[in-house]
Amino acid sequence: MLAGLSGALAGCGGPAALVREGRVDEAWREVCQREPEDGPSPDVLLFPEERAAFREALGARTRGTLSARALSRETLNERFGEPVFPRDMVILVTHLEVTTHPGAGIDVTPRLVLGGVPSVHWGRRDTWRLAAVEPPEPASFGSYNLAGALLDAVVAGLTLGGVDLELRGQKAVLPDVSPGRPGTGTPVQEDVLFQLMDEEDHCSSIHPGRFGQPCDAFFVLASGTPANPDYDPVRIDDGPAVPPRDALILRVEHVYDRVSDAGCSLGYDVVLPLPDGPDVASRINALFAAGPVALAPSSGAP
Amino acid sequence: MSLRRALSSLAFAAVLAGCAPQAPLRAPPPPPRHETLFSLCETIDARRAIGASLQDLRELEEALSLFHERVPLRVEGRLSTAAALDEKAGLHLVQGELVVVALAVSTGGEGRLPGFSAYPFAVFDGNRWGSAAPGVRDNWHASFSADLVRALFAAAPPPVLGPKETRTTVGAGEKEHSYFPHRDALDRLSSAAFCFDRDGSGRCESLTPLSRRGPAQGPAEFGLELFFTLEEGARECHVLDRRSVPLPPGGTLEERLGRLFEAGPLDLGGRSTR
Repeated sequence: MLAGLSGALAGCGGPAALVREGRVDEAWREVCQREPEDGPSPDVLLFPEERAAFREALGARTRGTLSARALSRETLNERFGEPVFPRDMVILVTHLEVTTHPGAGIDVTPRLVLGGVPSVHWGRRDTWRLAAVEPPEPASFGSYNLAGALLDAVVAGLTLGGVDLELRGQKAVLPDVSPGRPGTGTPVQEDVLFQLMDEEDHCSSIHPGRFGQPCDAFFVLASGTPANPDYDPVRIDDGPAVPPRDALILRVEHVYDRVSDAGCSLGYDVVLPLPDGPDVASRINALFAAGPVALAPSSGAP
Repeated sequence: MSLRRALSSLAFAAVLAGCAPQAPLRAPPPPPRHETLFSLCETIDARRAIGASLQDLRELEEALSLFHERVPLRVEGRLSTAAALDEKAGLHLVQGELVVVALAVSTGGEGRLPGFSAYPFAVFDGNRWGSAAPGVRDNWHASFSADLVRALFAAAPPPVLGPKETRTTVGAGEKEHSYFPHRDALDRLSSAAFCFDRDGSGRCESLTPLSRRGPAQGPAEFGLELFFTLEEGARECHVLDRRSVPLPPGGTLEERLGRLFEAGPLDLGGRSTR
């Protein structure tokens, strides 16, 4: 019986013990199955010793770098010959190379903190709000034909209604977006916004940077709150980073693989204080002038 | 309470507290076998899945490396002109910042494959470059946006974005005048730009306009994205592949590609590729 009990207790050490035994995949899965009330707080799923164990294990098993280049709003205005974004923003182009990693790979999402104010990624349809231009209606991205649209609506209504009564209400079939149509921006603004919306995602949690497969991505960073914020992984660092001053913060997300079958990602921040410079884009470019930065988690609090 | 009873209670409480043994992890995949190109293809296909583990990816890399050795590619390239493309199309369809490359791609190694297609790409000046021909691979809309892509992402400062009628385009030129000749000309252009081994001869040729397609921050390179078809009996297997070489240093994309092609045919196989 004592042997049975010690066996049971050996498996009872929780994620930290599993990680220390080298069973990172099992620990990862156990974390993802944990209910929020079983963690130290509803917002933090892991206890400090568990976060430390994961940081150490992931740090030892991760070799990845990120390089980046920034373009300021002023630079973009010069290139387009007119202001496209009325509010301050930066476009960041990144290149991610990963040679070894736990899980299926790594996805990196940058954000800026300037004078204590965060700037986050505004993706796809959110960029229309950022430019203060009325977004297109979901089904009218090309030229708009009222008669055709009415006919389509009648046919769709009859068809959908005939197939499934539940689909008669538009809320069930149309995405939740602000109504409107192109026309409130300049032609250049709308061209740019369509282009940003159409750009393919080459790095994502579905296609992360991984061994043998580097990836390039871009981010539109601005203050405020986009309508579609990014999904947050389970944090393995010690809470939200408080940078010592202005900083570029890389949220590194380890995506689970089919071996662990964990169902959630583990994440941490890499905080890169910005050097001095005339504007934020210059400061970011100076940060990467000496080469790419490493992505492994720091051993302690950020 | 006896010690025995206390320990039993403790064990029971531990199990209740969520300490039951975890379900076993998935068994690792069997070691890959590569007797034939088809089995190699199946390994590549299986290891490329979403959620692939690091071990899967290492086996994928090994399998792709082996595939490159067993199916080497020889690429003869030269720079061409927008006028040559217009001539193929039979209409003036092409304008702006395009680099037109004429390619002849041939496979070697083990036997003949049922078919393959090749899509040239480059990374240069903070942009990913790809075929601007409509209807070949990406959506057509993107081919009209090369100048916007340049303004948004290029590393070197570009000229100020011009009005729409002056921008880089493949296919918009005479659309307003007549639909059907325009459509037919576009089809001819798309066909010319598509390197596709139609008859299993192991060779394809193309005249492809490259334009800026998106952001890129990696090192400058030229390469091919490839799609191979293999057959074994009634079964088919496909290999998505990517082979590239660094661009020679200095100059515009056109100058650097010119020097790359002048140095002789590119041998895309073995260790020369990524």
